[in-house]
Amino acid sequence: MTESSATKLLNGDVCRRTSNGKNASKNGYVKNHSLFKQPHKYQRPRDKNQNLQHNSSLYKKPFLESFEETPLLVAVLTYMGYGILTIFGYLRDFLRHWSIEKCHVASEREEQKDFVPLYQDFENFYTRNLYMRIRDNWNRPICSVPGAKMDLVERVTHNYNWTFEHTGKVVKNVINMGSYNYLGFAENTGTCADAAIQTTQVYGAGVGSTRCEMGNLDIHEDLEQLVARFLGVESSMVFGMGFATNSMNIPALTGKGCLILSDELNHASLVLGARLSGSTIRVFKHNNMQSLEKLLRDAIVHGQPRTHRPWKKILIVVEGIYSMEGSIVRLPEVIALKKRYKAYLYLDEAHSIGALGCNGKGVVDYFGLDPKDVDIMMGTFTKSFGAAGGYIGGKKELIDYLRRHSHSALYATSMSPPVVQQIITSMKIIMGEDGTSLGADRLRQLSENTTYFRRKLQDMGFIIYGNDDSPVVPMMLYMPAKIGAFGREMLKRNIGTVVVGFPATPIIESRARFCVSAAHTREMLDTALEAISEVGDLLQLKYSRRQQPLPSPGWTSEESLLQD
Amino acid sequence: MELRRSAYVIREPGGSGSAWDARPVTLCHQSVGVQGISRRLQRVHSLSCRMNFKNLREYLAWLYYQYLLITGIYVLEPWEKSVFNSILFSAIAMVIYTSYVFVPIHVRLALEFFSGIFGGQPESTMTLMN
Repeated sequence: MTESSATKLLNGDVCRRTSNGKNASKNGYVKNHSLFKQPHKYQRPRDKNQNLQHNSSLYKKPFLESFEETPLLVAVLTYMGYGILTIFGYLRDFLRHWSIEKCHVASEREEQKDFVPLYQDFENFYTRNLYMRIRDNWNRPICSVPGAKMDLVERVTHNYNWTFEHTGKVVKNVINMGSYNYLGFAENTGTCADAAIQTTQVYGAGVGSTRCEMGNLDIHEDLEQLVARFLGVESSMVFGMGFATNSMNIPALTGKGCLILSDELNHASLVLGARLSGSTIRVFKHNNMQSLEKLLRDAIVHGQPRTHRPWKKILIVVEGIYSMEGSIVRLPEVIALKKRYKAYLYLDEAHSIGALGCNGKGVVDYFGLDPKDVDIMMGTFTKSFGAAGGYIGGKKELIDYLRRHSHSALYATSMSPPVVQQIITSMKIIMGEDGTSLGADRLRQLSENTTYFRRKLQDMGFIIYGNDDSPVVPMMLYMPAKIGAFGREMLKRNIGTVVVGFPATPIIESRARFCVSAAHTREMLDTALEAISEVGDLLQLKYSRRQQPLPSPGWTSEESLLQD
Repeated sequence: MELRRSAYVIREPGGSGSAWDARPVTLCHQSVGVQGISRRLQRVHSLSCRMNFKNLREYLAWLYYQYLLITGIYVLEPWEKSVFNSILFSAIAMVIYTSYVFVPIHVRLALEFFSGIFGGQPESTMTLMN
């Protein structure tokens, strides 16, 4: 990055009483800041108090998140279930090894059996023995647009999910509770689709080159200016693939000698990008500002591991909405910390752009903060805009640097024209620039749907994780057999859901993840809620020990304690 | 507690109420005391009341389904289910047989042992008094 970084090693002996960051300094000079206002005084308790004071004043509306604790009996039974399945896994592996049963897994040829093993047997233990048995809940082929309702191809398996066959029938009008379709732009009719068709007729479908060479179309430039205007930043750049945006751009931003502080539950693309960059990575507890502050202070005080030189830059990597937990990042506190300790902030708004905030401008808009405080705003177009690809927004110097140095810009094919047009049209609708109020309606519908859905699920007695405003709703299942049972029972009732287990989640905390959409009408949500309640009763999923709302107001509930 | 139950449930008139009175606890959260346990039993009872079981057979089938889900057997192939069920059944049968044969003997011996300690004392005090 071209700007000079101001992170500085604080020598234990030299403590100067300076003010925080108001000294002007020229490029190339290391600023000499002291973190402590008074020398040799242990600041921790006061800092914590300051943080607490800041906490209440930083948030304009109440920040309600809940992660109810796993009931003890359920945890024990879950471990027991996994234990039994592991024993059976060993039994089946034994049978496969001694050829008592047919082995469907990849294995070497007979002549190579004595060589170094090519296929790591034990790493795939979980895949072979657990995932395969309930594999029919994933990769279901969809044969229509994945909007609020979709059509699925019916499959049967004759050898317990090792191979599938299509029966030729189609399951029609399955309510889609799994697609990231927050604003309902996944549709094949309407202004977006028409504009995309027009653009295909002008530009074709493929681009045939990378951004740097011949793949820079004028609509790409238009889109980038539109995205910059939408986010409120100086300039932005778009990439063809959201995953590649993270994994190919973080290596361009940091390198050896830099420090990346990333959240525990960051997405695989962020982790991959951080590892590829070669920087030191330190992980802080999920959404825990005390942990982050401690890491920042340690980093600044001790510097790099052996040489104790100052870090070249410190980059805090967080996401807007964490899709597995449904939690929203504590952005005001992160920005306060970033300013205090002179670190840079990389905000991945994959799920929150378009879905949060009164204008749909993401988590920065939701908290009412200044977009200029976030150094690198990254996001994807897959979720709320109904397209594909990612963007990075920030200062002009940053984006110009990325245009020259990002791997994705240099080597990856640029975005396809109809996809670009879909984003342009949908973004204009969200901003309200197309003249209709469709964008505002959809944003309002999404927040209403979210509140309604979450409240109803919590009232029914399920354990729901996450923030009350996030459209991603994870519902806990815990036991391994219930993962498969839930997916199948919901499909029987014509509702398509996504169930998640290990390794995407901790081993006992498997869940079903619902994504509320603005395209869902109240009737669809009611149908879905009724089916979820029915399946919840059938499978005994209502684990919550919270106070259940009763119609008669006179009762005080002594039985269930309000647990967090 | 009746009022609380009716807040959750509309009782089916044709349900086999008698069979549900002596139910094993299928879900038991961390208890806050004996009162808490009984309240939770009632809550669990009312939860499964919403299932509308038409007859005892359906209810037993649902209980078997819960057993399959909780132990994780649900995902296994039928022959694996049979293997597990037969092992578990034979283990339980052995436990029951052993307890039938040996528990009365052990209980009688324990009672004799303890009554020997406590029952002997009044006699010795009497002799001292005399």
